[in-house]
Amino acid sequence: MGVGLWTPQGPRLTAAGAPPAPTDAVPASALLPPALRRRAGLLSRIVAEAVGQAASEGGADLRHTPIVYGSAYGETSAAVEMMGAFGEGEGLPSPITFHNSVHNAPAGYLSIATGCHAFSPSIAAGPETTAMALIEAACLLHHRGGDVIVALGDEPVPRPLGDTDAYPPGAVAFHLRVAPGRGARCRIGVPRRGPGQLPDLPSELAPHPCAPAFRLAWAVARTVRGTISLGTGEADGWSVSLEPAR
Amino acid sequence: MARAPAPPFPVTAYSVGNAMGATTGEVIRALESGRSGLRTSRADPDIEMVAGEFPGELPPPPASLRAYDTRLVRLALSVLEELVPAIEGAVARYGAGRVAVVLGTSTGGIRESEEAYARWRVEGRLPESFSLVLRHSFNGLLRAVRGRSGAGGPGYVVATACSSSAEALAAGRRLLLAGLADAVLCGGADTLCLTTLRGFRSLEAISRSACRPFAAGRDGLSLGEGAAFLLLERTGEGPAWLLGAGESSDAHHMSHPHPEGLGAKAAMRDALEDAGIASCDVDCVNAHGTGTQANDRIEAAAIGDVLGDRVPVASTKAYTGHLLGAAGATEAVFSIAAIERGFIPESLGASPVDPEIRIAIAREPLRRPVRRALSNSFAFGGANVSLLFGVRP
Repeated sequence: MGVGLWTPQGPRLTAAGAPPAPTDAVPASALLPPALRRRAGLLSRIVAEAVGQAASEGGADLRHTPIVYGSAYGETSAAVEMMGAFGEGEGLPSPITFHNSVHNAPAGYLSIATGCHAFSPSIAAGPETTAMALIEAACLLHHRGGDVIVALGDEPVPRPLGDTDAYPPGAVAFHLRVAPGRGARCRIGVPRRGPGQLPDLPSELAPHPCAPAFRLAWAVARTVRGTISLGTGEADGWSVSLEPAR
Repeated sequence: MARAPAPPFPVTAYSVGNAMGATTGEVIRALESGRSGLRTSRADPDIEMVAGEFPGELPPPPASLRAYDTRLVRLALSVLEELVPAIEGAVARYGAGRVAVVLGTSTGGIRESEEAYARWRVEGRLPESFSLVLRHSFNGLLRAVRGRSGAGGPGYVVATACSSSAEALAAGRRLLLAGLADAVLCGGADTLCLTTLRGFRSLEAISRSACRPFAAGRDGLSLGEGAAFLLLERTGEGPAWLLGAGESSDAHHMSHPHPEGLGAKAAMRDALEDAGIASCDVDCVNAHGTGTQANDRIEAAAIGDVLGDRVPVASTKAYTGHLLGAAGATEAVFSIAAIERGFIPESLGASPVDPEIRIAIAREPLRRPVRRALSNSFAFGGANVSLLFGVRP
């Protein structure tokens, strides 16, 4: 498994798993060529950054690796920008804003950037998005084998529909492989219902829709062994087993 | 290396509702009689256009699900109702935790969010009924459908724009293949909303009249709203089986198809390989066929390359409008109906067919045995899905 992460709290997962220092840096999103980076919204860019890190660490060939992208709300900045346009002039959004508003925009941009023709599912399941993305990834690996990247990301929902300060934009990605090589960080199971540990998380990220994925990333970084909650620790929530490999 | 075909699964029950009718029976009868549901619409109050509005008043959800009340949820639950006995049967057979739900939608509850935003512009505050978590988000639809169906297994929404609910079927099948469920309620729902009505207008993709897929004079798509649900089971009998699912990415452009139909061809070939079926054994195709110049020309060439120029091809978008996130599941139902009833619908509005399109567009309804039907769904982001249905193998 390789792990990638981007939040304003730190552009990379620290080796020790400690909360990284805050940063105002805009993600480099090096996977996206400049022409795509200019068109892509913030969420697509931070997901691309996390995917690039995870693929690099795990040794994934992104030209042939499907990405399971999960987000509770998707690119809401584009959706809200469109709503603003409806009341002005002809009331038409820009074509780029329209195609950026679809939930699968980050997966679409990444497939164009990497030339990957494998299908990349884009999903949502509210607070269970992380668990369901891992389940979808497990199904893909069972059916097709090889590698999968699981990428979770959300940006704050703009006003007036949301609270821009509720949580920072953030994305995290995991590179999973059926037959891991020697450099794998850990073995991860298929999500099941049941309680699990709740690793610490920087307080800014606790309300983030992808908080379970950030917790999992922190657990991987700290070589935690055991069952990790993919919810808030509830007994009937989803959890996943983690076994460090090194 | 070619992979081994995956086992087929029966579609044991289905339901569908859209502009052609509020019930499955009404929709299938309209399809068989060549009756379109497209009408002049004021779904966008500022711009008159042709669209496929769901007929009649939609009842509110039951009290226990009232928190999720949106037009999307009303529409979805209305169409789901016919299927509830079959789902309850699956829950009784397998246990609630072994019945999964995978749904497709492209816009979720955004129609109410648009209305809330408009109110905010005028009054400076959102209506009290607005809820980002329970109504705007895709999870509202998911919770409402899970609540009504009693399914307690894995549940998620697939949102790959216009291929969302086709992909829901592909993903649901994977849950069965992986042994993570014994039955999966798959489907999709979408409503008309300004986001898509004006979004496609900004792309100059909306037809001035009812859409005419594959026709020489086609000038764009018509939008519609509707829902469809299919129950996939590990065992059982049904009108048709899901034999294979093919998926691909164009990796080309966010809103234009690959000019050589690379992704479309890959998805169709993938579905055939997944099912272990030869291209000559496909009896008809429900095309994505939106009515835009580029999509229809490219899809037709791709179908010709993969399946040849003799298999009957119909687009049903001129009956329903483009149902976006509900299109894949709806057209899966139409493909199953073709197998069940030995009926290939007329590709409404296609005559005279574009002379550049050299495949066998169904210019009239055809009565003949259909053993296998392929259904195409292509989407923004280059997300392509082809589903292959057939009689019991």
